[in-house]
Amino acid sequence: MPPFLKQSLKTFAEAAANIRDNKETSLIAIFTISVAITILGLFLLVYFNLNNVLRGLSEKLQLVVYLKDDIQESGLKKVEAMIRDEEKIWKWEYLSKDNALRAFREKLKDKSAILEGLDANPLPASFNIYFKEGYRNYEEIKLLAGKFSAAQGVEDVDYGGGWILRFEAAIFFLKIFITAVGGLLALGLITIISNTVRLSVYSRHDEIEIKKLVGATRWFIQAPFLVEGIIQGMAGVVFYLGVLIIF
Amino acid sequence: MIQIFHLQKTYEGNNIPALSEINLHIQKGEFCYLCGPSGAGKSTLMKILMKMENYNQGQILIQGMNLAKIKESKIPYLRREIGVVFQDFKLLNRKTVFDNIAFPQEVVGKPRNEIKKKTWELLKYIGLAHKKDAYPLRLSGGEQQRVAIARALANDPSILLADEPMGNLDEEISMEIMGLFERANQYGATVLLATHNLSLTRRVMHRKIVLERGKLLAS
Repeated sequence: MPPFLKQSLKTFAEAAANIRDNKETSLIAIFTISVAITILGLFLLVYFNLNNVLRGLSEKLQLVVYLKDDIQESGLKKVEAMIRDEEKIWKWEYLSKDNALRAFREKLKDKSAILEGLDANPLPASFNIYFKEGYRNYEEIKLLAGKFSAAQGVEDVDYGGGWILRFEAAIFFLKIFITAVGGLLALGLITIISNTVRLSVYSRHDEIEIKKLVGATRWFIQAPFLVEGIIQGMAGVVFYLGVLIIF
Repeated sequence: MIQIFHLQKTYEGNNIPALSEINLHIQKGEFCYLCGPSGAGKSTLMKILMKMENYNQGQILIQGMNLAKIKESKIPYLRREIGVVFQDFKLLNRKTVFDNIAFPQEVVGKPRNEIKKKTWELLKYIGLAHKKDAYPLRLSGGEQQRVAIARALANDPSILLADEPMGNLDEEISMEIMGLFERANQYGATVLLATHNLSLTRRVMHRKIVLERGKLLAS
């Protein structure tokens, strides 16, 4: 057997023996790691879900370009070409006057009586425009809104400017909050785990001193601790996964 | 073997030096007592020689190695040249007698069969072959100290340092332990034995190095 492999096996055996001989400290370490990972897991669960919700919400940000009733076919084509050429746009849909009214009627199904007296279609045709990721912010949307509102045949644009600003502010504070909570959590977990490690080192400081006295190198002293840590860490994860599967 | 020039050591926060102006030469194969009352600086000197403590001034050469210049990574190799025995034995209580003696040999990476052979030799030398599987806490003080001596001799060190090795033992057992040091010395080890037991130093005559309040009184 090559000396390196022999030494590795010895280190592994010693680490295993240490865990066996220090059952209580090892169990505490494994349990601490499990709890730490569980807390981290819960945080990540909340974090990723929240991120998904935010992405979903930001996908819904839209710019509505209302067209004049008397827009010509050529004008319509021009606006459409503008949309097509704009690389910031993710997807878009055209809503003709008729379709707009149909959609409106559908929406007011229960109160259709309101629309009964309507003899002409008051709703304008429109383009609903959605943005690519990275352009779903107030500044970009406002810029595009200005561009479209200046186009010929466009009656008005609507992008809920105030709402977007509030949405962005909310996301900004939410992100700061999550980062702060995550940071504190990480700090807490690091402290707990490092204290557990310190406890296990301290409980064996006599042994470490003796090893030093008989001329053990740093690596010879540290390696079993390292392997022990890896074993305990993996045991902690397995325990955590077990709990996760059960629940 | 051990040369000390103008050694001074002051512990942080203390005005009075623990050791001052120590000049000492110990020849290869010599057996010396390091005498003096408690607090004289015996243990401090032992710790400095083991590089467990640093010192403030002076020079120390051990087998030509300058302790001031030795790199952190080379300290383990210095310690392998020195066997050390303490008053409180400092055995690994979770290892058997056999494993305690085998341990320093594993540290230096000796082959397994050589470790076995040497450990058996030492067990016979200290007269504890029949207790090889016992754990230290099951042994008497004298037996534990014998194991500690065997461990100190496991790698055939050229120097054997003993800090009050008979401090906790009665007269009869102390003489037995003394016999082990004497034999190690006859096999070639340089022995420096710290003690405040004057009756012992009178019964077995060797060179006496006397420390008092950190100063060398006689050598």
